[in-house]
Amino acid sequence: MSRRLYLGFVVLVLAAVAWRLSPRSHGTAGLARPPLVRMAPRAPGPAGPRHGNPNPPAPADAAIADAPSELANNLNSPAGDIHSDLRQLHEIFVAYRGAVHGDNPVGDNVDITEVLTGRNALGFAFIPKDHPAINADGELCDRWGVPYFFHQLSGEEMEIRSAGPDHKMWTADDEVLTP
Amino acid sequence: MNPYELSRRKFIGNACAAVGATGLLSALAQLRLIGSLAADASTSTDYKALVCFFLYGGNDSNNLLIPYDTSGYASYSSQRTALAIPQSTLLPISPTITDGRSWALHPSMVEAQALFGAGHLAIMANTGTLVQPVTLAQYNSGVAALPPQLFSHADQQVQWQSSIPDQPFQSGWGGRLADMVNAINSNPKISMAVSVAGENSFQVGSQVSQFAVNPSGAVTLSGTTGGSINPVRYTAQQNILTQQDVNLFQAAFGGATSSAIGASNTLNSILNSTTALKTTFPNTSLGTQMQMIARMISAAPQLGLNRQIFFASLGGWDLHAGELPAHATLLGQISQAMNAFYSATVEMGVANQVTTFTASDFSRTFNTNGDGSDHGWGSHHLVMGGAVKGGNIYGKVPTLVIGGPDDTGRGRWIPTTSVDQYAATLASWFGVSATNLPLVLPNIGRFATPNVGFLG
Repeated sequence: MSRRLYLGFVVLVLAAVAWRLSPRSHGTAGLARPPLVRMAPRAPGPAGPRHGNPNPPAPADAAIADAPSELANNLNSPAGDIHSDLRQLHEIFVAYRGAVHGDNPVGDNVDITEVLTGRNALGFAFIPKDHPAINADGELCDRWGVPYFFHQLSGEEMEIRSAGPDHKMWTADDEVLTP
Repeated sequence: MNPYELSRRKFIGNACAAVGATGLLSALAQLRLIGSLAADASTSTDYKALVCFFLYGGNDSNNLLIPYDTSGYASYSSQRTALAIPQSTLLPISPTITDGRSWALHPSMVEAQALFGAGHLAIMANTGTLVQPVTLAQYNSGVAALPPQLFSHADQQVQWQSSIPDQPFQSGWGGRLADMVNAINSNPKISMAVSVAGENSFQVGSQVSQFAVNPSGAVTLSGTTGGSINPVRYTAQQNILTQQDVNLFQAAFGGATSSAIGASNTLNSILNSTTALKTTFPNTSLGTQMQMIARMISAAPQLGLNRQIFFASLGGWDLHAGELPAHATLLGQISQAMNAFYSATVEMGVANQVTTFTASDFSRTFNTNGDGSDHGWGSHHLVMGGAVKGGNIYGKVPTLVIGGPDDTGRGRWIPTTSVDQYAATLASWFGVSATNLPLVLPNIGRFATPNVGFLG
């Protein structure tokens, strides 16, 4: 082995030693999220002043897809029932997590609906913005017109609650899908 | 032969030497760290214990600390509507530091009111998970780095217990704290990290393992004592577990299992030999957990422990419906169990050396969903002990107005104190120096005031 190779080997060892002894930062090297893009504040919605969505905003270069999604085609369909609606919503959350390689969206119904209708990293509307299940306040509603309650158990588990035929949440006829 | 020419044998020899040197230097670096930590430890020979009491599900702290002055209560009542507690039933408190507003506790917290008045209980206001300080403008504009999965139970529980919300979970801040101070325990017979509420993230560390006990004592194997066969079975099990001629995994498993069995037996033996406490604990889930912790504290000298970290918990706080009666029951349980536990520490003469604090997933929305409340963010917490500068509210109680300067929507308050600051104040009291604080709480440097000041 030549002298050059030998010296190179020694330098490599010293570099490894220096690396081991160098001070390290403890968890401050970077945040889990990429830098977020500044967005203009939204105008107040019909339900009064709205605050920020806790989900990361869509990247500025994410083209909001106009292509219709077929995932929500049968939501609130007369041919189905509340059980098929809940299963379909569950599948939409599964599809969302798979597509964005992340966790469920969080927040109130309106925040989550906003994400599922395109305010996400892909700019993809898992549910079309003009889906008849979405009311004027931007909330996703059950087949009786009452907004769903999305209970965030964990990043991968979303409990979905419908108020049921009595239109009243937290009563005996509520229909709930717990994953 | 060229002196720089390497034979294969020489190359392998040099490589091994290099790897060995790197390993040695790595070990030296670790020793340097341990030495630094031991510097914290070596100054302390006294006894101290931290008790984390986790409220699983998200405590509605908007009904734990309630505005009491006329205008404050009127505003509270008009916004909480069905969740408002009648003013006439509230338990007023008189914090010595005031922002001009008057406050009261929930009517179920009679004992807590007395502890607050006596200076043994403090309230840490509006605390929550934060990646860094956040303003409402930053939140609304989307530029703020936020803890991932805000409002999700499992994620917020883990983030509260790790205090590193922006990183995948690796360890809890209680576990890291135990790793750091464990050297103070010169001859520990069991782990210094004990849970009376099962496995948790809070006590996950690198060196110190969490040791689970139940409210009646250490968990032991059944069928190992009494009769003629049981002792034989136990001996046979021990022989199998401590076999030497097995592979590494079997040996590690056998060693850990044997060690756990031994520790459990030791603990039960010591617990049975300690003098029973005169303090009466409530016969509730939390009451029995706190009683067990008190017994463990009384056994600390025999266990060879100068530092102990405990974990207790109570579930049922996720009150989307039927909140008022259920919340009253839960807050009553807390108040009674904490009071009994404080009395027990006084009886044992360690009131100044034991600090108990609450934690929870999050608070809840200030407005109601009709029969309960939904997931919130910043919440108020209780800190109790003789070393606590009690009778005060620390931090900043938010402006309790939906759509106000602290509201992200529906009365989900932006925390004005981070979990890091709350934990750092407790860790500092426990003996961690300011220099070593980032080893327990890596994000603490992002917050201007590491120590919130509720401990002397």
